[in-house]
Amino acid sequence: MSERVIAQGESTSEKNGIDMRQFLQRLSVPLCWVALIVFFGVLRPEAFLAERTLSSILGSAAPVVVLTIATVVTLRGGDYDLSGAAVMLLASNIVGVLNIREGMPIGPAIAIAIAMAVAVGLVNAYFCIVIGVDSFIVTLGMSTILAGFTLWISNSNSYSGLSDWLVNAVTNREVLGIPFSFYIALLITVAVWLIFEYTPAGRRHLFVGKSREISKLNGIAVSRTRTVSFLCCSVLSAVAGILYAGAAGGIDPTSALTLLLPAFAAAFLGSTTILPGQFNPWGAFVSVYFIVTGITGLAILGLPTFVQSFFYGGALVVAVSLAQIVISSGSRSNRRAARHQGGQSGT
Amino acid sequence: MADEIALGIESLSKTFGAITVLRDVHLDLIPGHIHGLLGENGSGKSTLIKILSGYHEPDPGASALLWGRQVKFPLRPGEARSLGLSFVHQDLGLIPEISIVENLFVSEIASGKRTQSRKQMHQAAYQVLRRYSIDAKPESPVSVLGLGDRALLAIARAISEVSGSGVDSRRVLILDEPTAAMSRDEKRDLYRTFAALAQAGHALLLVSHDLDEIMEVTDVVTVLRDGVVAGTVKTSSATPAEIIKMIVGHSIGDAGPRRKRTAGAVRLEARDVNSPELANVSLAVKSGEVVGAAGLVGSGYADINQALFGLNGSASGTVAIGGRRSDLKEHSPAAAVRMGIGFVPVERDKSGVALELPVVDNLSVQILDGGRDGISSAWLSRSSLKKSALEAIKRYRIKTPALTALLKTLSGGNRQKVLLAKWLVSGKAVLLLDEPTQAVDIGAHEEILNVVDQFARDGGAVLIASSDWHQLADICDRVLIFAGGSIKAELIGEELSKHAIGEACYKWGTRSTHAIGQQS
Repeated sequence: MSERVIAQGESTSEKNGIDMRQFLQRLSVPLCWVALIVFFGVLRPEAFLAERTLSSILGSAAPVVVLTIATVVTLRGGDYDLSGAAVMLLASNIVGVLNIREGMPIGPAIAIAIAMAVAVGLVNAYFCIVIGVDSFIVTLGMSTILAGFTLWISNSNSYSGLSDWLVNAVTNREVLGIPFSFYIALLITVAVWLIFEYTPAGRRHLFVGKSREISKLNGIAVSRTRTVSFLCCSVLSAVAGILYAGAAGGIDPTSALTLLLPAFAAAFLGSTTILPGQFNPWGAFVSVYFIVTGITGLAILGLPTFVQSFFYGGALVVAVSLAQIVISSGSRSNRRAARHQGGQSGT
Repeated sequence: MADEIALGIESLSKTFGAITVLRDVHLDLIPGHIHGLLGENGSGKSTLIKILSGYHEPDPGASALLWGRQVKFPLRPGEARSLGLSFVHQDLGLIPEISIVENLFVSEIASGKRTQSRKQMHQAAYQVLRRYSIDAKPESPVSVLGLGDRALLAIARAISEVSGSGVDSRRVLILDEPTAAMSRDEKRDLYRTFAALAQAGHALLLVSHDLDEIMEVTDVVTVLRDGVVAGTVKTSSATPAEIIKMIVGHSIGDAGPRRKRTAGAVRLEARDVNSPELANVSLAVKSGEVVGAAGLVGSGYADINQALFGLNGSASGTVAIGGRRSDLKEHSPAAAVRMGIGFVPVERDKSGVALELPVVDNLSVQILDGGRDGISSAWLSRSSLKKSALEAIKRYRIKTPALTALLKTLSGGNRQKVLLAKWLVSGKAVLLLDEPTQAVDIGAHEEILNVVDQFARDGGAVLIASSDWHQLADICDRVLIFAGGSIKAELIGEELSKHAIGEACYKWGTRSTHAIGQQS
């Protein structure tokens, strides 16, 4: 009798332990982000906490947020799309070259950039799904081709003097002191989150990402889901490119390519938080800002650039390792709890 | 006449916890003989092989004599080999990507104890290929060989493994279902090799499911049943019917289905199903009925559900539920699900449930577009999915720490219940189950069968393909016996028992019994 009471007491405390751990795990990156803001805020309050700095962090990272969300879409669907950054680059250059060099109005230029992204998404999907080549290889090749294409159409030149309309829409217009591009990134994050969590298609997409075999046996249209996944990634990447061009007021033929790995890093970091174990848009959103905040803070402290790289890579490896440790210890105690419950119901 | 004994096993028992898998097994292999080992699933065959290969340790008291020398259990793999005991397992243990010569000498190469030069090894490999008439070059990768040639190569390697160790070149060769995946011709070549090996004085133990093979190839056959030697007989003096009796035992009044249900109208109808594995299969399952599919390996019983669920691209025929008919040539899992079919695959963790997703997602994947309750809209109500999942957990007694726990934290039995419940909450009319209680503990086993029973009582139609004949006799109203890809017999009601099913499977699955007729 008394033994039983003790056993129940243990199981409750163990349950609380799991809940607390889950809670901390879900909020790991957001909490680190807050800690980072406090850290730099205490060290350099006058520079770091200036309104200009915060608004610059929030605004300048917007294109990266969108590119990361694009990457999350394909990763969650079980594919790699390494061509996202190249689509971003080409889209910004299409808009820039057409608008600045050729004098085309900004509207049609944006439409052409989006159309290019749709075409790239379909070609990626064709080779990965119909031909059956690994998405890593297809999109790696595609990335290189698009980078070459960008050099070709831009003659390897940078252009400035982009349409005021776009520049105003992205950067100059501010709401609550924050550039409008931040709200666009926020809107996209919310939209993708709603689709992922609250639509049947979003849930099926998650199953396809976890296992194509299982999805097929559930009657899910795997190929269609993956195609839409590639399309969304490309189009969102193009949107990132347009924001990128608008933020800079011009274009250059290479720099967006360097955002490929940061976007992947943030996507993976994001998969350890908010909804641990799943690539999720809020995790990606927070991760991008965590990393950008860290880099901005280090710059304000006056540390050399290579320290930023240490921070970037270190944050990724350390965070993902910690998440792995928490997940494996969590599932051990879950199993224990399940056994426990089984034992109790047996008595 | 006192024959020399190559491998003599005495008083070998093995218990796992409270379960006795082998009891007091006695087995003598004689040089020059091919000795068959038969027994249905769970009879203890594989445990015996695993003890001989050193994987398990038998209970104390067992003794073994190998070529006149007392050996101590557990046998260490290297020790068995050096004493003249070699294995050819079903997967053959060859590496397809590397060359024939490297495969033949893989243990020498891997251990670094090469005694021969590259040229000598090449020469030896060449000799082996000639001796076994394998048409390939020593430097070709194993992947160019057919299954039969690969088996020959694996045997050649097993035979030459101890060469050079001295005393005697004769060996005990344990062949663990080497022919399971082979065509008739490939088997024939292999049988000739077996005979030649026996002639040369080796002692062979051939483990097989295939009674035809045992009758054709072996000199002596031992049958294991429920962990006990049911008998050892000279193959030539036994009829297939007698051996079948030894395999399945005598029926002991467990006939008849234990669960009475009332059948309604026909729910699932399959017509003229053909595929590489199936020949003209037509069947119908009524509402309220649980129908079993049984047969030996390769008989087609394990293929029917996959064909009906749209997983066999080369199947033809039709499947119909109510008024909805689907041509199997254009069939797909998506179409099957739309028609109201749910499918539980054999490889649950690989193809049935998403281990890395929470319990609630696994339980609600089939009701995303609105399940039985018709909650259909563009936006999901997460709370109604949760409610439905909670009901399923309660109703099917799924033990899980939480709705959000990842499925991999559940036991095998509970995963299987989630897999079944997923279809049940969506109100499917037909369930196709492949080995529904495989790798499930005893308690969950019973609960899963109860869930299936309840589904049928509520008007569902169930087709179960299983190699567990006891389970089929327990749960089914009828059992269809498959052989050679088609339905050969049907056992109904009072005729149903584990033994009757087993007997029918062997009888129809064995060509040699057809001549003898239906004498048992």
